Amino acid sequence: MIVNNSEFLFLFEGTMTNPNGDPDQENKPRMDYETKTLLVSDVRRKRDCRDFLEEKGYDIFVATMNGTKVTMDKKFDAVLKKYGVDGKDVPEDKKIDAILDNHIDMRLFGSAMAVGGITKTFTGPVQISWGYSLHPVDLVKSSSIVTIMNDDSSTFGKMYKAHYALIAHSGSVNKYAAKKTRMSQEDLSIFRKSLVQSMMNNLTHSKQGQIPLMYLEVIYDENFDGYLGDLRRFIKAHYNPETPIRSGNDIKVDFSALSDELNLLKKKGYIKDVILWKSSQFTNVSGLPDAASVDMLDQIKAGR
Amino acid sequence: MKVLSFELNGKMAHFRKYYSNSTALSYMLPPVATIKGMLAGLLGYERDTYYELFSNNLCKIAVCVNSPIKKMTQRMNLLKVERISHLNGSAANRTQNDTEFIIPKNIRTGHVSYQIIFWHKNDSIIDELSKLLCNGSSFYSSKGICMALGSAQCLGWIQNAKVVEAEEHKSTGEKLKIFGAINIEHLKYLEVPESYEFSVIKEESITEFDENRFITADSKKKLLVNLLDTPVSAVLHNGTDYISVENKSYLFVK
Repeated sequence: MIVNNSEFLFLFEGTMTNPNGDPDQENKPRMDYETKTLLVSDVRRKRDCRDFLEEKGYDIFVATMNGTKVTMDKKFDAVLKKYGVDGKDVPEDKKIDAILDNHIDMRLFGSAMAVGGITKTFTGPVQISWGYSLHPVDLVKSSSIVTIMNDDSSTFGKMYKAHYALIAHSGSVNKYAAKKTRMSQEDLSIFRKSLVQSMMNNLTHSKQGQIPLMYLEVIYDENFDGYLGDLRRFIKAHYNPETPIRSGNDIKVDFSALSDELNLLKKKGYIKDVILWKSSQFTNVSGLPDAASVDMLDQIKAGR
Repeated sequence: MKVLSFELNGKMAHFRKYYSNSTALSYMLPPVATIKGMLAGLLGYERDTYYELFSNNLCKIAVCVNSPIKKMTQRMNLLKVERISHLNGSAANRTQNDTEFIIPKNIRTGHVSYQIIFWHKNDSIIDELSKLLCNGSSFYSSKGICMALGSAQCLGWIQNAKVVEAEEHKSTGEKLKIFGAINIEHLKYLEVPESYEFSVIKEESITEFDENRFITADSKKKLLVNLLDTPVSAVLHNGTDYISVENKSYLFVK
């Protein structure tokens, strides 16, 4: 059972990649063009996690069945049958139990769900904010052959990628919501690893070139009911605004303001633990908080 | 009167307009009902259980933009849900939905920030909230929700919360410098310098629900909203109530 609130930072970089395309903008990377800031939605991260965990053999609720789209009724029936809680005599809460107990994505991210005509909304204990690049980003456009239908006709399409982007997501884990979806410590540990590892395993054409750089989590004390909220406001990126940013060497990330905040909260006894995983490729950093080192590349055990 | 004043902050916000479920347009200001929901959530109230306690008769809220904001549209590829059985993505097609987000001028260096002034008839509600929020530090506490600006993924935070004394005034037709949203019905005359022309907009706010989650007859308010952190020069109708908090004048949305 989760009894602590926590907040996390997840940083990754992308080189010649499209971290999150906008379907209405020729699938260009999502951007705030006025400031040249690249954006990545929260659902992109959650989809990575769901797909990766499904590969690992976990039952995922918001997913297809063996690659085919089925109606939710069918999925329910299959799930309820699988766990022996089908039938009209089985009380509602037993069915909800079966859904929550067997689907890690429901426990982590919540969902609107429906069992036997009763609808219920579970707010996810894990919330991830939209990510943004810590610096201005340039896009690369190329026209290339995107489909070859037969020998004499193929389609040229436009493809957009970002030259380089160092992107930060912030997120939180809410102990009260966790109680309702019955998210466990083990679920949280699987989530952390899947956030990092799913990116390394999503090697589609548009996503190759993405590398997870850092995961930092502040685990608050059981007796503390608060949050700092969006830890990214305490990190500062230094770069030369005159020259384009083409690699991690062109940007330095300073965490000292975050360390100061965490030290203040530590003194008050509000923080239980700070854990950190940092890729060996992420070297241009300073002022990182004191934290216990955690291996996020440790293999996730297979689901049933 | 004793009020709770605080900054509601975040990197992104989305306050869904209530009248359509097929688009995701956003208000610029958090609707009053949304702010009530946030405060109830901080106090640990469950969804749909607090409407009576936070009715317009019992509490009043003023909202003001603290730093310049802008709108950005992103098209989201969403599940097309026409019936409950589609919730797992089983429908033949998905739906591409224009979603508006409120963001600061520069999301890397700034954040969206609203000043909220909250009054409740029952002092104990303000006392309880002040225990959670007024700590003189960067954190906020919650007995329930994680603070989010509208949608759950628009995570935010509360800062600089304090309980202060608000002076109550009645307008006598003089020109006032007003911060934040103004009910259009109270407005007699508005002075907009040319440079501000594009920063003053009309918007509506839903302020309360009844116990069945329907909006009440008194719920919908038409507002004049200034998107900059500056006051507007306005003349209010005679007898309009307004307050001043720390030398700034506001109108409760009511």
